[in-house]
Amino acid sequence: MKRTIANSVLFLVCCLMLTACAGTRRGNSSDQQVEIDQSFPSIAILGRRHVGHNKTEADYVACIEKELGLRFNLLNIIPEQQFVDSMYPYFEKSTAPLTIQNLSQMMTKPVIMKKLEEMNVSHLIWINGKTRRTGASGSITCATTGCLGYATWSDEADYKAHIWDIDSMSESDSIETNRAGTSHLPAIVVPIPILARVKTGACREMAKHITSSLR
Amino acid sequence: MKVVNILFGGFVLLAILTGCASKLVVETTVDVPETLVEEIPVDAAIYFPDATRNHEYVEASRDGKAWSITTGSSQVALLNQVFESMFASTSSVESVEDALAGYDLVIIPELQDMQFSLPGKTRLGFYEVWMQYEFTIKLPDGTSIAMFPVNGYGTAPTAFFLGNEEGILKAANTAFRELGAKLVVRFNGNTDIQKWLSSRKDKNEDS
Repeated sequence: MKRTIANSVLFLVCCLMLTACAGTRRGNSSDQQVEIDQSFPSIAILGRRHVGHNKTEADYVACIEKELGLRFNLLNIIPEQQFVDSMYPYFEKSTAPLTIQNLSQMMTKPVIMKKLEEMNVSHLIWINGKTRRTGASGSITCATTGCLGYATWSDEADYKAHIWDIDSMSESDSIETNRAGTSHLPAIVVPIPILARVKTGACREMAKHITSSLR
Repeated sequence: MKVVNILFGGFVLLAILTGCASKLVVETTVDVPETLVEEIPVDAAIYFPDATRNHEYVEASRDGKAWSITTGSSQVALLNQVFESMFASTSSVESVEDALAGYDLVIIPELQDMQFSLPGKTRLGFYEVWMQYEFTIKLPDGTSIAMFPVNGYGTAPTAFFLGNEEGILKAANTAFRELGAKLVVRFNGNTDIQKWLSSRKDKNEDS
């Protein structure tokens, strides 16, 4: 009895430690502030979030920022939140320009023009889309002695990027990425996840296309 | 065995505090970035009606909880921050009559409705805060030149160990942020206000 209780407590403590670690990492990345080097152009990658619950995930945008950061040395990649905060109130979900014509009109305001110049912004990249769960089945039962069962789920990622060239005030490119995959989780005592990593794959593919478009 | 009992007691207590509290008492806060606007050369007076300044949402029993959400000071702080960045000078006045002399414009922000929802209610896994304002813009002679509604909507996703208080705080801040953004855009895009500003500019140039 003592041993069972001790195992339960240990399991709960492990769960808490794992979730606490994940939370801390997320907090750090969103608070990240980048110093802008004026000798290089800057870009900002922004998620579209104006339509109801069909919002582009912040972690997908952060993934593209990270991937592009690995590919470009002579480019400032302004983190999304930093850019949106600097441009407040013009790039909020309810006020952001939906077309390049809207941006052009917005830039007639000297404060907006000046701020974009200060940050040396050459391109804005809008990401529209989402990763959706398209199916799930199976079940796993866990007890103090371990887990038993099998679960599977399918995800589909559909994203579109629109690249706005600030100097020519035009949409220089639009890129589409679609990916689908099925993850499996068999559990015999211990759950063994075999993940499809659909969103990460779609992010890397999108970053690759954006890289060729910007070069 | 004693240690195990203490640990279990701790978990039970934590669960009660985070998930099963019978009260929801929150005082909202504001964390909105500096507003990027062109300063309007106007001395504006802001009159906050009591319903806005002292706004508190109280409900004796909802979702098994007694709710008390105080938002008045956050609303005033947010609107003062936005208006200070918009105008050459702003002052908070105690009555509309006080404001009618000595200022170019009087702004009356009136909170008309504010609603809150917990994830259990929305069934969508997030906290929701919504507010509806009506802004009245008056001239020193008491005539109203514009009246326009602005709303703010904010959500916060549920997360492990995120209590209802913190969820409501996050959703409220998102709603405040949206309210501030829409206010600036609506004010600057209001044709009646723009007409008045350009006629004022012409008069100043003539004199």
